[in-house]
Amino acid sequence: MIELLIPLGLLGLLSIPVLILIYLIRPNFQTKYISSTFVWKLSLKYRKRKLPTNTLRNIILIICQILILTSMALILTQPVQNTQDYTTANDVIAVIDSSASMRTQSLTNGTTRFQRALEKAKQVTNSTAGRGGTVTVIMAGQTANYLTLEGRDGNVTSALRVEPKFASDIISQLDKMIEDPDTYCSYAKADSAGAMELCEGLLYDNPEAKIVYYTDTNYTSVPDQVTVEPIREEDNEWNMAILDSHTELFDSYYTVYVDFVCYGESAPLQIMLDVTRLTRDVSGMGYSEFTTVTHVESDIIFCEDGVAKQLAFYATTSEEESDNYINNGNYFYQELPEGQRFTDYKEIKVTVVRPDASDRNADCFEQDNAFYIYGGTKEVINILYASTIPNPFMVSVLNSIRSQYIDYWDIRLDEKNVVNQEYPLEGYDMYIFEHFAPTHKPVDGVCVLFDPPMDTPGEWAINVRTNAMVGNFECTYGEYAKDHPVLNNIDPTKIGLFTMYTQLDYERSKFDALLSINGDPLLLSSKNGVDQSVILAFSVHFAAIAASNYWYILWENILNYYFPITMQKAIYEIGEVISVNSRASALEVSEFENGIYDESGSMNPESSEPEPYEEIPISLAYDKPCSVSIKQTSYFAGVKHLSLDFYVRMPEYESNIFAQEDELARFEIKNEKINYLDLMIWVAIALVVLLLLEWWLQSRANR
Amino acid sequence: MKVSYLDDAFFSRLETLALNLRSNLAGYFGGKHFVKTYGQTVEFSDYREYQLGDDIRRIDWNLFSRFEKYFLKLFTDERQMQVQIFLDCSASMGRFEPKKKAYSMATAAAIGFLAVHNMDKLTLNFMRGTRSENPFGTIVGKTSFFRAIGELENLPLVDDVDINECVASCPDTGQNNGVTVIISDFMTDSNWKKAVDYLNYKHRQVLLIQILSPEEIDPSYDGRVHLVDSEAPDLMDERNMKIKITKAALAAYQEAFGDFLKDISDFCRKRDVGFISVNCDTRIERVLFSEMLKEGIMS
Repeated sequence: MIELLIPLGLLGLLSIPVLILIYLIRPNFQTKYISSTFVWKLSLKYRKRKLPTNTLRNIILIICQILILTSMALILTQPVQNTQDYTTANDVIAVIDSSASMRTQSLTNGTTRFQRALEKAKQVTNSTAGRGGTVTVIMAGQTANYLTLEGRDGNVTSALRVEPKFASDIISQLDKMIEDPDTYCSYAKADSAGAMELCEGLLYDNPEAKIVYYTDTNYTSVPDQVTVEPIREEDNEWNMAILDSHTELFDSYYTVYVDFVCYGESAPLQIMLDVTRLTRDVSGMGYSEFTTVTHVESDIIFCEDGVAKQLAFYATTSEEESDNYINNGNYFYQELPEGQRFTDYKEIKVTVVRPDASDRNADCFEQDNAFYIYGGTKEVINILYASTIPNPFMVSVLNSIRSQYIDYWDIRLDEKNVVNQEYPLEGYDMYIFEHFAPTHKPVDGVCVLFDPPMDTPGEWAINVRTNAMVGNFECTYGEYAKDHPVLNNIDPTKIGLFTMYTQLDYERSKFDALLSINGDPLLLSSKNGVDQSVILAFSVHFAAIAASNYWYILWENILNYYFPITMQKAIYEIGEVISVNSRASALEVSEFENGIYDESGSMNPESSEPEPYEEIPISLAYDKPCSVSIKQTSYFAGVKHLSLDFYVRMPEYESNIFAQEDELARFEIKNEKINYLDLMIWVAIALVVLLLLEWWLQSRANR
Repeated sequence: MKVSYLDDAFFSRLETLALNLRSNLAGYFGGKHFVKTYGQTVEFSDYREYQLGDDIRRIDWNLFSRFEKYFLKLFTDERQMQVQIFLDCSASMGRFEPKKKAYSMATAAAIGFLAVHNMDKLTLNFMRGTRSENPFGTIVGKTSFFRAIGELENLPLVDDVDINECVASCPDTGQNNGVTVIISDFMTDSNWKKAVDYLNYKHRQVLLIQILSPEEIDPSYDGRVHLVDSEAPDLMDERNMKIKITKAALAAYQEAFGDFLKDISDFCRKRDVGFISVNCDTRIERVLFSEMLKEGIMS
């Protein structure tokens, strides 16, 4: 159907009567006085007899001119074709909040909010189908999507504008979800903005469609087109929750902070910790490791409805800190008694209970009653520094790195003066040999040879030609230095002078030459499976680099290159992309639904089969809360299985089962129809054609 | 706008010219035109044998001494001719185009001047309606001529003209005694050809001079026009016509105009009648010294 956006443009049609008036009043013949019409009368006999096209041509000309004026008037009106399929108020878009808080169960009948929302969606589907309208169902979970339907023929479709005759497909799918809400309700925050965006797209097609949003969130302001159907039962629901928890290290002991709250009721709550630790038994005949669990209970704390509290379990506390907590009614501290203090941990399970209830653990939303903390055990890097003349630069730089990366690495440095001390050649992650090379190169770690001697064994894959090239040398990039991680943030031209270096040959297939002097390698690096080594062909005593910050950067890069940090955090949120790196050759990822360890310290059964990965780094993402254990298999055969754990938590926001928000995401449905096909171009083309035709007719008329 | 060619310079340029009339005309005694008859002039023409009754004073004694026979010496005769000019005084000759009127007047005056300059008789006939008027009578001598020419410029041009009637009704058309010049545009429905035939019957040498305006030769107007004939008494006259002038109409006009000229030309050629068609945009000297010389009416 063609519509005119500016109907006033039709006033342009008034030009047509004006045109006709001009035709009527214009002089038909101009009087011309001539001597004689004698020849003109003679000429009439010479006029070729033609078809009487003049009249026809004149009529066409007038029609053409009228059409030209009509076209111009039409252009002024901006004609458009409404391509809208249809508009009907019978259509309904049902948006179902499938956020984690929708798992809240009613105290009276035990149904979850999600189930009640699905029931209401069923009702609206039935009533809409009865009116002959279409139904669209959108699930607002971690992302907003149309409800997936499995048709009678097995085809999977989306519940998008489902015709009444297929409404039963939606009903059966909703029934299926009601029976198994745990599978279909997410643990994430509802993507209401995404859902409204989908609605916006549907409203473009049918602006009169009705949107019903089944949610447990109260909105102060809702768009006109949306009706919010509240699902929550405020009198029959309450929730105690661990909002957050973390640990901090004070005086070698961990302090556990727990944020908790109670929604829907004011109630006395108690926090409990189950700290799983790895204990080493070095007594008796050997060395063994086993896990122990320490159970800690807090005092009972009364929580007002909706007021968050924080409890800190301190091993030791200063007077100042305790004053801060005592003086504020929402912060509490509890000192851990001797024997319950801990310096490391594998897992801390934090739970909240209500001691005055018959079922201490029961509330309407149980998913946030427990919280797991990992990261109490760092990645250990055992380093042996063996030298004939130990220098303070080496020790100080490793100590600095240890301080800097204390949240990620537990660097344990063992310094040996080989002149008067024995030094082991196994059991370390990194070996640094200075001014000498052992007869046998260690095979269970990264080997660093610093200032190699003339008698360096062939195992190192280098051949020292000259031990001391004396002079003032500047280093440059080596052959394979471009973008090598070991040279991150290092500019060779600014390192400084080398007054002496070792001239050597190396096996090019094994090493990358990163720095060089006069074509001689100064820094070599290799990382090929078990063959991981670094050659520094200079003595720190004869190099200006030891006194510059490049010395620290170089060793930081070396450690990051050979021992990349596995994870940046020990806690992630649902849906967050987790990047996992590893020093190892392979990873195995295991998921645990209720913590990795049970109350006795034994490992819980995994919720699914461990998943191996060989391409490192990897990216992970989870859609429900769980504990994840990453087991790394080292390059070095027969040794070292590293294990790190992290927790995927539910969004803190979801614990508030009576959430209130200001505004539901707004969308702009323009009042004017936007699904228009602009016809102006076609009218313009017609106008041009008419103008050409009129010009041609005029030219013919003068012949 | 008044246009006039008649000034002293115009006539002084004509003094070197003379009318060249046919020699078989009879004419009157006197004059300067040589004729085929023998007369008393000093111009030798022929010999013939003496016959009884001839004047013995005219015997050529030199020939007698040579042949011993009597021969008479004959001389050419010179006669005075009558030049009659019929001037079309209809409205089409310049009611709306003063230049055409002045051009026709100048042409008539030039021919008249040549006549009186060669001691011929001149008669100026103004054709009006079905009659021709001769207000000046027979003009002999330049004094009478210039007096008559002075009146020409005030000659009114009205109505239409029937050339045939005008010529036929002329009381003194003469017979075998001179030339008759008809000056007109010949754009008339009257049968002017009968007038020419009549003059031929009277053994008059006839010259037709057609004066045309540039607009008549090549109309410059177009579009839807109401053409009003200058001879039409009112706008509703049937001679007026409404026409849409297009390229095709102009082409038809040119074709009709060409055939119109050709018809006149063919007619004149068949009757040994001189015909000159001139555009009044052409310089009049060119007509007198080129076209008339080419036609042989002047020498």
